[in-house]
Amino acid sequence: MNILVADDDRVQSRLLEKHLAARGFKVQVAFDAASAWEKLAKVRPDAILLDLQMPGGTGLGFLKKRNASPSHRNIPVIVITATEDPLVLRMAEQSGVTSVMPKPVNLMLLDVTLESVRSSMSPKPAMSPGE
Amino acid sequence: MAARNDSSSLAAPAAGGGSAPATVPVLDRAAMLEIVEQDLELLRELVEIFLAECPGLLAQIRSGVQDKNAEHVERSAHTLKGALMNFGAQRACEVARQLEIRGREARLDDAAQLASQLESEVAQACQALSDYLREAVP
Repeated sequence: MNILVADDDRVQSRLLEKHLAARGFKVQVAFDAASAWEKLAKVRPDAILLDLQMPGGTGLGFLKKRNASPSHRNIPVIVITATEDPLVLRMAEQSGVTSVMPKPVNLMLLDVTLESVRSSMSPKPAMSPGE
Repeated sequence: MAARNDSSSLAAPAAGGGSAPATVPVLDRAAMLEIVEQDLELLRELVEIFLAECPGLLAQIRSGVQDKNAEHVERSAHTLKGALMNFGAQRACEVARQLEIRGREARLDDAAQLASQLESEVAQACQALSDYLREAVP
């Protein structure tokens, strides 16, 4: 199972990368929203762990783009955020994400959530031309 | 390497007029070890990443305050707060949080004072992290 971690916090990214790799996941990391989007097309992850505040575009912008893309809108997204802005949190929750988790992330809860994503996985749809 | 079972926290010296009460620990060791699942080698690696990232983030906050760029202050303080959370660095985290709020609300009147306090709190947290690693990983 491929996981894309999109977070500009290098400490958090490395923590997640190491934790997930130890559990057999293949992990790709992006430190800003633009490169997260680029990697999304290349890696075709089975799940995305997304920070909401990153350079090069916000996580909410990333979710909007993902929701508009037929090839990507079904990829489960788990938001991991330190934001306390209720408006941003509400918008994230209303963007079709699997879960919103506060930082510092509870790794046990993350494991359970990813297991649930894994068990509900269906075959990947074909990529649309140009995406 | 697994951590020893040490739930103690390092309390800060009393700080005058700051945003983080003096009773809040500089470093919550129990929380920090729980986050890294008692893996001290991972903790060492994360601390090294943090020590490398920290000066740049503090510089971004300083320049955001000087330029009165509220968005810049909010984003940099937010990133630093997130990193500090991973170490249970509660005092520094609280000051970063205050700065993030100032940035979000575009109220930078006391941001310079908060930025100075943040630098001091972060320096204490970095020292406490280094001390802990020296103690725990001979």
